Amino acid sequence: MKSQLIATSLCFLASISFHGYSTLAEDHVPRKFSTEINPGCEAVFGTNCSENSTINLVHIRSDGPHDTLHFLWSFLGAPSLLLVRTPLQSNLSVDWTSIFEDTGSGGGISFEPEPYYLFGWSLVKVWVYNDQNDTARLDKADQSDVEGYDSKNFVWNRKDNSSILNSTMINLSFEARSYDHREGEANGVEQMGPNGFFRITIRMKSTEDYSKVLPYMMYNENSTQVDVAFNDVQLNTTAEEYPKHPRIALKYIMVQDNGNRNGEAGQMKLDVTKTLDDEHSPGVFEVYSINTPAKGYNQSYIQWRPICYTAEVRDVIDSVDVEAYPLQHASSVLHDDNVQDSILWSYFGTEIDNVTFQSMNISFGTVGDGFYNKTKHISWTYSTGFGVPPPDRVSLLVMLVVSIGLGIPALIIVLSVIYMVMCKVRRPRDDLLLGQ
Amino acid sequence: MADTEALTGESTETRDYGESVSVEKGCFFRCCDPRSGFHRFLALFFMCFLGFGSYFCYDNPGSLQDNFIEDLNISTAQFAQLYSWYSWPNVVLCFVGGFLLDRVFGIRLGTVIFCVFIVIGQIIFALGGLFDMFWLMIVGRFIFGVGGESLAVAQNTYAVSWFKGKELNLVFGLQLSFARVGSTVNFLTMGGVYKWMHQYFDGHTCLGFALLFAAITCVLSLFCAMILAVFDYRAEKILKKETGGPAEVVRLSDVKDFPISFWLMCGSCVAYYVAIFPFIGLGKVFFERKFDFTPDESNTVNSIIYIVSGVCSPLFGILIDKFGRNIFWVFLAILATVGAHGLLAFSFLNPYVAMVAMGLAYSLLASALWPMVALVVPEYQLGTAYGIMQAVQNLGLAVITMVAGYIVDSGGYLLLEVFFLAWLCLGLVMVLLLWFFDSDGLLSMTPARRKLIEQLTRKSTRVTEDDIPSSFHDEDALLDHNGDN
Repeated sequence: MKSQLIATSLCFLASISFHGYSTLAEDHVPRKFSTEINPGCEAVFGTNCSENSTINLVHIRSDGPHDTLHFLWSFLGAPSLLLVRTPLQSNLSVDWTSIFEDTGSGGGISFEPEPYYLFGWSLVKVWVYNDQNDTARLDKADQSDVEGYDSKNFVWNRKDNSSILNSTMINLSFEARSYDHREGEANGVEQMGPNGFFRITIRMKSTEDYSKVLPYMMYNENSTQVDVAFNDVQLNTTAEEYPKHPRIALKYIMVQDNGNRNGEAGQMKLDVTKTLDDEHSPGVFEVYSINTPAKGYNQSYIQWRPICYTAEVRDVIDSVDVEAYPLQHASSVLHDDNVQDSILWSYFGTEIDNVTFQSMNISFGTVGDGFYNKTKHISWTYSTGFGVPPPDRVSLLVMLVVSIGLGIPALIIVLSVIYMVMCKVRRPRDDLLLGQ
Repeated sequence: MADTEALTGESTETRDYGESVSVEKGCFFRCCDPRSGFHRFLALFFMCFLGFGSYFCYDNPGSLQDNFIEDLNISTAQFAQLYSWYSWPNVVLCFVGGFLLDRVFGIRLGTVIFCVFIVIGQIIFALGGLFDMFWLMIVGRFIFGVGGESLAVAQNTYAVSWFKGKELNLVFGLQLSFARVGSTVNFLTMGGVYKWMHQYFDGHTCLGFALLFAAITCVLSLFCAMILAVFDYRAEKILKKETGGPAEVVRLSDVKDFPISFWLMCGSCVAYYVAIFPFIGLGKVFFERKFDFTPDESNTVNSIIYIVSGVCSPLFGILIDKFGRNIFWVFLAILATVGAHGLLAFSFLNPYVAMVAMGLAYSLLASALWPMVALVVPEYQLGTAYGIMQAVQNLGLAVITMVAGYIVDSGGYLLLEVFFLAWLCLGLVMVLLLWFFDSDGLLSMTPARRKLIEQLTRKSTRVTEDDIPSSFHDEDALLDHNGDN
């Protein structure tokens, strides 16, 4: 039994180290980031428009040895990300007029030459629903209790003074403190409560590293981490309309263009993987990820741990669950999918219906947690990027402790077995003497 | 007046057998005669139940871990302190408890006092929950701890007093099994109690009332203590029993005489127990999170160790009494626990497998380790030896439980399991060293061989394993010759 245990543990250790090594060797090419804000906006908005914090189109180029990854963030309308893989020396061209005009066929964003691959998502809606029966599930709520707010109506501001934009690290926040009701009530733009904000933070690192923010997800040079924080947001105009048991949910639309069209385009999948290692997210043994259908080297993902936090300073005590709902088919015609709110429409136009295009809802909260009203804060982090998500590795500490811990007794046993065998070899001679 | 006399046992009256017969008028002769099996069985029943409340309430935090954390808004590290503060007073009390029972209060009053402590402790603990005062809960657990462990000593003392020379081993085994039953019942019912309370109350109020409900078991134990006191008083009068035998005095000066084998046993005891009890305390949420169990299922899995132990401890006790080779069993038990924790840490295999293995290993170790102390320490120092071992064990539990809670919060459950594995491996090393230092080979012998050596030792100065020719196997025949077995 001992030898089986030792053999199993050694095999396990060997497999971890091999796996660790193999991921190190795999496509981790060094990349450099370079950022430009509102490229080409002078033509329409005049000079200094790239410093205008209310106009937000951030183009992050990640140049590698063989290709370029573009992370195009847009807060013109719904917060969106276009992740584009192009040949080196590729250029982004933005037609600002087309973006802001409602042409009915998109247009405004293009890459020259044609990209190899594109993945995009957009946070189109915020659902505030009344969870009367405390189920913490959006799909169990009554339709009449669910209120949707288009994320394009939030007035987004870029926080330049706290940003980091260098070649190895990016940290940029966008914050909305007011909401434009537009066609709804007659009030127009409204402050979202005294301390209300809806904040999205982008974090990127060009080296493999664990984030210092719970739930300590891993960076690599092909991905970005996104923090979504929703604090003290009051969107209803009158107090009576505010639900008694409010919960927050988000709607995302996601698109992938790998060259395939229509039937061959394939569907994205929502995978739940069980992981043994919860060192980086104590108590959470699952990882959710949306994986796009792979075509050779080209695929993307959105990945998260099913945990979110009800306080700005994140702590394990403040965590509640994250619920993800099955992916739905999306279309530019469906009213709720709001694709026209984002630059996905600006890039694809009606072509978006011919590629992999789906939507998903995510809700936050745990049964019995006192609803959104308890702390009026939800923070959630997810990671999105190109390729396969970086696998979690068992840390050095664990491997060290296990190998030393099991190694020393094993060594002692081996030595003592040798000692006993040597004793037995000597003994028969003694017995012979006694016998005489 | 009479009651106080009964409790302190200091009455100067003496009665002879003739007078005592008149006491039994008005009740059935057999059940009132302290010498009769029926009466002693009745006393045994109360002796076993004496510890029920203490063991039931000890694991209350463990069976309601997620409720504690949610209702009081505490971290796992703070939660672990509820266990830790139970152990702190016992670092000192293990030395003093026996002395208090024998010399200061007497067994009857002493037991009642300790029961009062556990009742008060649990009530304060519950009040802390009702008023959402975490510091008060810690005070409650501290007071509860003062009574709890000493109550176990009291149980043992009662057992020795009533059953010495007859069925003592069986009684010890039954008491231990009953203790485990108490722990198991806690895990299987407290979830339901909380749910029932939840219909009427919410949050920390619900928790407080659930804990108050659990205090009823402590009150039951108090009644048992009082009834036992009455029984014992009558038995002492009727049988003119001496109040216990010569007390096992605790003398700290003995410590320097203890062989290194004893310290290694101490070490391996601590290293093993800190991988079991803190794990059970923190296990519920671990099973909920990793294996997606419901709270009730988690509690059931958590209680498996106690269920298995309750059944197997007496069995293993009998087996080891017969077959000896204690040190080998200790080694095997620790190794099995390493395997169990390894399974829980590095696989998603159904945790029942690992928990059953852990339960068997725990029973095996307890049955094999504690008697080994008697093999290396002379009888007149045993009291001190056990006191030290208990004290070190409690110190280890107090510290490590807090560390374990902190690890869960900062590093997650995988790191916690690896932490426990490290301690178990340390225990393994200590047992291996113990085997090396056991130059007489005493610890790995069968009882028959040990007896043989004892007899041979009476004739010559020192006999070791090597002096017995290896070809000589027929120990039973030799023992029959010596007429002793």
